[in-house]
Amino acid sequence: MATRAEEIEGGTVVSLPVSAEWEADLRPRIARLRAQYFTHKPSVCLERALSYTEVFKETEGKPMVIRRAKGLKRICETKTILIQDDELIVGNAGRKPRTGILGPEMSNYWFDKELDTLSTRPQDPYIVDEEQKQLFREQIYPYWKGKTVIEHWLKRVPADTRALGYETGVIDVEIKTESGPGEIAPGYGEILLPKGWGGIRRWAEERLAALDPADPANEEKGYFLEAVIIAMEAMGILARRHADAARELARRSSPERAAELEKVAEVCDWIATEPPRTFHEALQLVWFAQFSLMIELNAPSYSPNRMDQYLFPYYEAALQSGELTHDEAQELLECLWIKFAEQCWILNANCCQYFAGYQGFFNVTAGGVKADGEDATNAVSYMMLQATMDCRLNSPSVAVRLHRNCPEEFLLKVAELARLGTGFPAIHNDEVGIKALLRKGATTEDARDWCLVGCVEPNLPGKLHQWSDYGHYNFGSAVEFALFNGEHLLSGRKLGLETGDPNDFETFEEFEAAVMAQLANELRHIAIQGHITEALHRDLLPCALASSLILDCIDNGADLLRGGARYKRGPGTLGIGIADGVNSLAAVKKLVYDEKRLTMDELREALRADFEGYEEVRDLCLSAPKYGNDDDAVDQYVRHFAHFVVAEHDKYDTLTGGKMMPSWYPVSSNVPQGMTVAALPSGRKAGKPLADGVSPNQGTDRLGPTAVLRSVGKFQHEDLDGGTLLNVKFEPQVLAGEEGLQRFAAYLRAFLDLPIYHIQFNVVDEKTLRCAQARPDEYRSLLIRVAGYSAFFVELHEDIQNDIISRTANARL
Amino acid sequence: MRRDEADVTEPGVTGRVFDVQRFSLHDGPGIRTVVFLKGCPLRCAWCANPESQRPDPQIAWFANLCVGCGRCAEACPRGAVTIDGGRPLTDRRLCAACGRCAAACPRQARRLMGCSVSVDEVMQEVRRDAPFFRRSGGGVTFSGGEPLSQPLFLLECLRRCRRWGYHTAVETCGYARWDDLEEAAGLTDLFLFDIKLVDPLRHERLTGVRNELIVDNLERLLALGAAVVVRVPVLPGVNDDRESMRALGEFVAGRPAVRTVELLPGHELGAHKYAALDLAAPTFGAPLRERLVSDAAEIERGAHGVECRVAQGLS
Ligand code: SF4
Ligand code: SF4
Repeated sequence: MATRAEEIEGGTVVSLPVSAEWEADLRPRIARLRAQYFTHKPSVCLERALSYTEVFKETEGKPMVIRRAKGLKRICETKTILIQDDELIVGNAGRKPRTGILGPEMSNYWFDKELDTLSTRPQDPYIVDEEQKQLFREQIYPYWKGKTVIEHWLKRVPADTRALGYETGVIDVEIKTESGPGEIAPGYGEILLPKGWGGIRRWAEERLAALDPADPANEEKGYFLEAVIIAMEAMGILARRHADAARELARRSSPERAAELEKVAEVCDWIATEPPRTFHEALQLVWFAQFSLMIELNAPSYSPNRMDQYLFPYYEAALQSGELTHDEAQELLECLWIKFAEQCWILNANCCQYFAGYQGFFNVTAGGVKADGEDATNAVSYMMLQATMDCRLNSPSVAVRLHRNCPEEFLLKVAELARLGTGFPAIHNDEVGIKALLRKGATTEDARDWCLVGCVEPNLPGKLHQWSDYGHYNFGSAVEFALFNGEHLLSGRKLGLETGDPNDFETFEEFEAAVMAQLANELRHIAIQGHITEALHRDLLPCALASSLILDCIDNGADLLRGGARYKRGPGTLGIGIADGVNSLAAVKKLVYDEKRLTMDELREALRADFEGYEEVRDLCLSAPKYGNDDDAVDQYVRHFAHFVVAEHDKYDTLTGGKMMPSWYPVSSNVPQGMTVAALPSGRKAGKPLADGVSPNQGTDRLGPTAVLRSVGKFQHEDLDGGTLLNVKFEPQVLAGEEGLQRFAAYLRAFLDLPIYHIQFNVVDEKTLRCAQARPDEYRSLLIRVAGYSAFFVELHEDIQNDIISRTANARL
Repeated sequence: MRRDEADVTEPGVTGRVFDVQRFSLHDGPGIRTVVFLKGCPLRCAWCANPESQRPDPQIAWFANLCVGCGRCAEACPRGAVTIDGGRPLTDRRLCAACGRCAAACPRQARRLMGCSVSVDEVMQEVRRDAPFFRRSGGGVTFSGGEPLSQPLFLLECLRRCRRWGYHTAVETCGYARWDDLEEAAGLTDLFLFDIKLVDPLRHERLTGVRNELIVDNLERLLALGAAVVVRVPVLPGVNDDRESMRALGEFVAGRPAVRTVELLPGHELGAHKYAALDLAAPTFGAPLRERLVSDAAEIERGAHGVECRVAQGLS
């Protein structure tokens, strides 16, 4: 397996590993579309920014929800429509595929500041040309000065919260001041496919007609419903313009392509107002909705959700009527997969570190159960996994819900995709997911319909409003503040609580309590600023389109951001560096309190010096027991943390009517958050990345993948109902061949027996082994297994290591 | 056989174990935990686990990981370690294998191989992976060393596994008292039984003992109806020649109760462990996998209904 150099962009490998066999089997159209995809370098599009700016200038004084809906309509009327060669599913949020569309009403100061570095920055660069720079500086930027979400936020947020968040990144709360909330699972199966845009429009019209304008409660409702109607008009215009463009293009195309384009035109025309009749129409409609939502708020994580559930009836009908063969349906789905991958989400340079990889986090869910608990796997579930195996791009994110009654073949298909080592699919334990939904207040039947949003967040198609990025906090800083009485070592500022001189803590329990107090303080600051963000979203970013796709917004006449949805949970927080916190507590307990091998001050001095000149102290810290080895003495702290953090979250109400929601997954923020944390008692050096999700620290899990699961299974994952994330590494020999696949499937079944929510896999590759050779300390857990024998890779003689490296490079799964 | 004592636990039985390895995949079916018992009556010239041979604990030192800090020398109560040119040298005549140096070593470059553990302790370790055994058809494998060199401990562990419903495998060189083996047979689901060489004299030359007892034990086990996989470690210059393979084929063909044969490709992955124990490593090299595959096919052709496979290895 190999990754092609040209497919690495902006610090991110966009392609998944490929092989010659894969290439030979790829459908020709998909091969061409995929190649075409790589010819587009990510670039900036200002069409949306310009439309919204114009409309806002024209509509001063109108209700915000209407102004924004008009902005959406304007861009649908004016945007560049591009249909590419070979496409069967058409349309882009920007003027070209792979464009970042700027939302100037949220934040744009950064764009002004970064205009000249945007195309060369190390993470996720975008091309921007001189004409665009001028357009932005003259026509867009001046209008929005003082009006954006971030500017409001900065004026409102208290100084101490600002210091902890915006200035030092101990808690990172920036992202939702930079973009809209997003993070919903639009009700495609519940609303859009059965009704079509026209049906939703009529629904809003009926509600509007029934409102008595003399009732003051109805003023806001009326504006909202009017906005929904405008948004529906916008969607109709968008579809019809694509139909026109397809017809126009057909005139200039080969007869074969012209027939395809005529078909595309027919599809677009129909779904401009009507509910889809065919598989093709359903896919195109979902795509229009997906990228239009992106236009509406430039927000991440609109989840196409349970595609196998809402597409299956169309698929079945298509096969029965002879409209499509299975193969043609698969090809159409893969065309959509490429469109999903094309969608970028543009962010400022800082945010990019937290959400690296361009993608808009479109998460599709396969498998699970139906409302009555029966297995829900169907042909489309397999097609979704196959589409990712075929397209091999880093987006969409594919998630599966596995349960004990899953068909064997589905489990094997999941194992087959997972052992490619791409991190896909994200595998979720259905039972735990359902329990998480119950915590959000869903009925049992609704809970069984759960899906994934974003990375690993449990959500509910068409019924729930929940977002997770209130803020990121980290366990490393909590330990640091407890050790230094609130001092942030890297800045020298007092940012934490004064929990007292740690030399005065007579017992370990006092120390642990100080760490918890620091954590509580981080969470409190997240809540304080989060309420401000929520209020600003509500006032400045009402979103009629998104709201129209979540029940009961139209019936309630209330936008999502005003609490219109049936269920409301969160917003939530993301806890980062759990293993760092756990391992630090375990090290302090053992070295300072139990064995007294270090005094608190010796430890503190060494940490302050980042262990420079204190290598012996670091060695002691590193040799303390670590999370991930099924060692109850260490793992108890992960349970303490979970318990504490969940209870703290329950203390904070949120504006949209939920409670603050806890989750433990990192996106990619374990890297930037690590930069603000000094050396830790776990032995981690200052500035280094924190652990990833609930996974052990790199290289410290020495007993293999079963022990990792046991450790990670020592707390109740469903209590962190915003989701948890676990990454497990496998050596490729373990997964090779039919036997390896079976074994892997058995491992997954055992995973379902444990109370763990999520798992995804990486496969150790040649590069990892080379790193291990160079830095054995970080890779102690790599194990080489053959019959009757096993050894840690880092202990082997160099020539044998080299031999294993070359075998790994040539390994075939 | 003695009466079934599955529900009677003998308290206080301890054994010498040098490793417990979870997620083992090549020593019996499914996902397994392998308990390595220390001590072996054979001295195979090619042994890849030299730390398994002697019954008593030994201190090992891995040069790759050592930074020459000298903490081991400071920690040793017997003055067995001296630092010479930035490397610790261990005088094994002075060393009492107390493990203090290993505890003091900051790089985990020293490791005490072997410690005394109770049956309870082993079982507490083993039960941690029970969900994986159940889902994969796996279980527990007792290996070594020679597990039957600690019969009381082994039998007690097997009895407990039976009681808790875990599949059990015993990997043995076959050089054991029949009484012990017979008792183990009543508690074991699968034997992985090594036949290294068919010729008794060469067997003696290369392993230190003749093989009559081994062959006899194998036949008696088969006669009891025990499930047995015959395992043959194949080493260049030892038993990979035509002659040895033919002899093996005949050996298998002559014992129709043998249903499964596994050829284990020899390897030199144990070299660093020899170095760690200050021993000279054998250099047999590895056989060609293609050769082994054709040898296996040959054996299958010669013995009706036998499955002969080549275990996953590095070659
Ligand atoms: S204590 Fe460990 S690292 Fe230090 S010299 Fe001894 S073996 Fe080497
Ligand atoms: S095991 Fe004990 S006696 Fe042997 S070298 Fe280490 S500290 Fe010294």
